[in-house]
Amino acid sequence: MNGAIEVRNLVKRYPDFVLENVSFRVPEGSIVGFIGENGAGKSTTMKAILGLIKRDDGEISLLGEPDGAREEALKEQIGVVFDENCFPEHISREDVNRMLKAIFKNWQEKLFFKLCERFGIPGKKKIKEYSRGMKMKLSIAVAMSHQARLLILDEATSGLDPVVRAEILDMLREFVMDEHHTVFFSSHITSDIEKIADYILLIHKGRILLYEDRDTLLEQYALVRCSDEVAAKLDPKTVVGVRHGRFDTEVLVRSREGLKPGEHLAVDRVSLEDILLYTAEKPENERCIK
Amino acid sequence: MKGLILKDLYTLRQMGKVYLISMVCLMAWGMAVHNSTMFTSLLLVYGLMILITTASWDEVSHFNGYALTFPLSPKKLVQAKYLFALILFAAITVLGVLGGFGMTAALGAKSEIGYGEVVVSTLSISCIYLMTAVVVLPCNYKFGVEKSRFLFVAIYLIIFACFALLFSIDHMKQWLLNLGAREFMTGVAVFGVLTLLGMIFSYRISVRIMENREW
Repeated sequence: MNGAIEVRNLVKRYPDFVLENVSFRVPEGSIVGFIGENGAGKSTTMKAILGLIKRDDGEISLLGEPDGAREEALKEQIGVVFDENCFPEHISREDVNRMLKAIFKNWQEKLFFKLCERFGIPGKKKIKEYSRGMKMKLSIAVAMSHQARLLILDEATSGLDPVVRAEILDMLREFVMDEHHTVFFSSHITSDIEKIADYILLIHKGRILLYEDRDTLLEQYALVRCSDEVAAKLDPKTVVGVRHGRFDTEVLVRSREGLKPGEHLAVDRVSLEDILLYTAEKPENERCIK
Repeated sequence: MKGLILKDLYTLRQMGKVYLISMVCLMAWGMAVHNSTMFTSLLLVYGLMILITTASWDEVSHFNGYALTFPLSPKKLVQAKYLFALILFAAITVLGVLGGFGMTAALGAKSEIGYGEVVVSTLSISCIYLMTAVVVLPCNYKFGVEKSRFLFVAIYLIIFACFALLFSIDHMKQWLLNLGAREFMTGVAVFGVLTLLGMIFSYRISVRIMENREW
């Protein structure tokens, strides 16, 4: 199966931040959730993929095309949604349609208006009069209205209420029902990613720490609650992070193999949020919850 | 490119009524003072205002970075903006000539300037607009719209200061006031050629700025 996105040893250096040898492959037909704390490098990675920033090293290929392939032809097949509306606010959806009809060769006017109707995006109003959710839905309608095979969303659900977020996630699920369609989206709302992603890619301080199938990840990782003494006996190779509480110690482990729940040890399921929290903390520091 | 120009035109719609009313008022003023040059001169200001305003809205909405995710290159974004500047140039010229002719015809003998002067003054104003656009556009791309507004004001102050200095020197003042029609037209033609060359140079700088810029 071709990769919709293939990133190999991507490096981008800023004075106070470095994206270091980032490599991953997004399989065609999948939804990959890209998580990380603020400032981890999610947007930098996405901008490098989209060619909005210049990379210092590495290769990126999109939709099976080699690195450096004709960008404009590729962009016809990629729909992008950022975390804010990027259209001038004094135009309406009809203006957006006319404008994009002249830009995209494969612009689907009927589909665009159908999506606008479905999303409840009003006709005559200017974008400045839309709510935040409507602006985001407009961006998504645009991204899905030019026969895109790949959708890239950068924090597209941030600041939206649960109802709107659920609508957007449903749209993404529908989009990948076509096996040639792929979604790559970043968010720090891990519950959204947990709901629909097939794979989880976690970045922390410019480095990829984890890339795993979601179900495997959530089944294998476990949260162990135990005493300090028991925690000290756990295999260090499986320990991701530790938190000392007043009454017990919580340890996130990569594998629940060999763990037997008992009087002195409780093994719980984890969420993506737990994995992000424990992974984002410095391994050499143990945070104390007083 | 058509899509990008449409975007700029749509964003101007809301200001359309204001500009129309202002132009009618200016024409009325021109009729009152028997001179259409105020009308033509302010077309220059409107042209620049429109150009800077559309760039400002693009900046506020972060449109350019988003537009680069469409099948558009930085070069195409620049081309569209320069084409829009040329469209405004054509609009200023046509409106200036038609408005000036209309006022001159209406005023008849009372008009302080003739049809020929309307054409020359309109073309001069249009070239000044274009020459300013040539400087403002790459500055917008490099420094952003807000900072380049200061530069725009500084340019005009420098030009004004130069003219004030020239006119303060007696023999220069006499020379300028005694310029014949032929010399004046030659000056306008040279200015036109310089404007065109400036436009090409400015375009290339803008493309380079945009191609090297990160979003």
